[in-house]
Amino acid sequence: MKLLRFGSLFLILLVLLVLQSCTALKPYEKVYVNDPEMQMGGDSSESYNKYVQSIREGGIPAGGSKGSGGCGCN
Amino acid sequence: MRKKYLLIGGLAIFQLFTQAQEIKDTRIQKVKKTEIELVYNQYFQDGNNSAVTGGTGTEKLTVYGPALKLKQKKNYKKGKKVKQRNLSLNIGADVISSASTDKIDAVVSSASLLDTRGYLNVEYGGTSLEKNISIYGGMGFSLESDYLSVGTKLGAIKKNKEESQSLSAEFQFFNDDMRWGRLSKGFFNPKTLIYPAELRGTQWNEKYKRYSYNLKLGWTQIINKRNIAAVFPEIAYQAGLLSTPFHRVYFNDGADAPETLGVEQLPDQRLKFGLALKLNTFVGGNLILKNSINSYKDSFGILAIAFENETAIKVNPNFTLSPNVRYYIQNGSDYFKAYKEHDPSEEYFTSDYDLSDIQTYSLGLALKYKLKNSKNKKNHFKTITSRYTYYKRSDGLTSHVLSLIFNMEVAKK
Repeated sequence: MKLLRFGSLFLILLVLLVLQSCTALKPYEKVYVNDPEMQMGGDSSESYNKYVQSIREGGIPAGGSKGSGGCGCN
Repeated sequence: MRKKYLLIGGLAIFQLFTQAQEIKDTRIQKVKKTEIELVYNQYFQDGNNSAVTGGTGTEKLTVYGPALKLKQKKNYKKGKKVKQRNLSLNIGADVISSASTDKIDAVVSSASLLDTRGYLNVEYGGTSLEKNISIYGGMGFSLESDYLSVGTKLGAIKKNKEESQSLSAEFQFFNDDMRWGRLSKGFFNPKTLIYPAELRGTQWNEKYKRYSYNLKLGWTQIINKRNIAAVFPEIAYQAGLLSTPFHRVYFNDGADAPETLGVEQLPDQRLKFGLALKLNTFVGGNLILKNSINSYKDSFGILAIAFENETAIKVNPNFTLSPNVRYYIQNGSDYFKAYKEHDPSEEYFTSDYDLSDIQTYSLGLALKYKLKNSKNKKNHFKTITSRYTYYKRSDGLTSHVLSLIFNMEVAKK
């Protein structure tokens, strides 16, 4: 329970930190942030792992692939 | 016969998709790319707390999952404006061999039941490259012996002028029918909910439909030269049959009383809140850290948080190694109790360990190989990716996930 509360607090602090520290980049400064590995979306194997997690765990992760469909009952 | 219709239907959709590539647009056509992705997933699971047998018994399961994804992107000019059209198709099947599902009919059985889940998703969207706005919509269905799920979605993505910030919103609606028999007794004539063999004299559930409404939001922000952060809040509401009709629950009747059991009962509404936070950092010349925290709460009493890190190591320009670690902790639902711990007077009860107090750990490794191709070559394999994940749950359930992806690109100018 303590870990859950700590995690929620950490989330809020991190969001505030992000809001405070953004800077505008020139196109030539985007070499790192434009790297394919830096993008937020995952590949199909990551999606499949998230699908498995959403079935074997009670919590459905935000941004996850499974919103509904089936019982995941096995 | 049914398989024949599915095959003809699949070929017709594929034909429609390929024909779409050939249509000549009267507007100026700039670039047309089609990405083809072949995916194969394999999932092995073992455990000893199956919900089908009331929270005790084998959870042995194997899933073989081939899939094909096609994504076509076309840039064109309409007047002076440059636009982009996207069409994607995702078709696949999961062949499932489950020891526990076999025990719906026979409490003691050694054979494993074979089932299949088939799915198809189509998405179409347009982007105004000048205004940096994308709008898309999609439809899909998923079919297994015990359900048919039909889903629709509508979404939009807006980037700012500098492309340092992206805001997204997506609404999804799913209409699920949980009656049994679509794969065994005729697609248009599903009979009834399937209960465990010994409990079929009683109608345990009045509803057989499940409706899900999901609103997913996203905010991605470039923080500086080496950091990108994103926040994904999500709210979901479900109504209808939310329990699984062939999950047994054994009650605590006292030592001398005869054994009594029932079918899992859960409330017919569920509200869920999720929040994911991601931070990707380009640390050095060849190291990228991808960190995320996921928190979750719902009206069943589940409270959960997950911490995850994937570290991408660029061994050389063509080869990336990505070890992955994840830890998840969950406070279980108020309606969960283990085998023979429920009181018969309770209104809602389940012995499904997915809803219990659990912690899970997973460790994985992904290998991504970018193939060297001539710049003039229009059709080529782009990447080959393989991933292995080991997963362990605190109640003893373990699983192994293997994935293999071939990614190819076909370009036309």
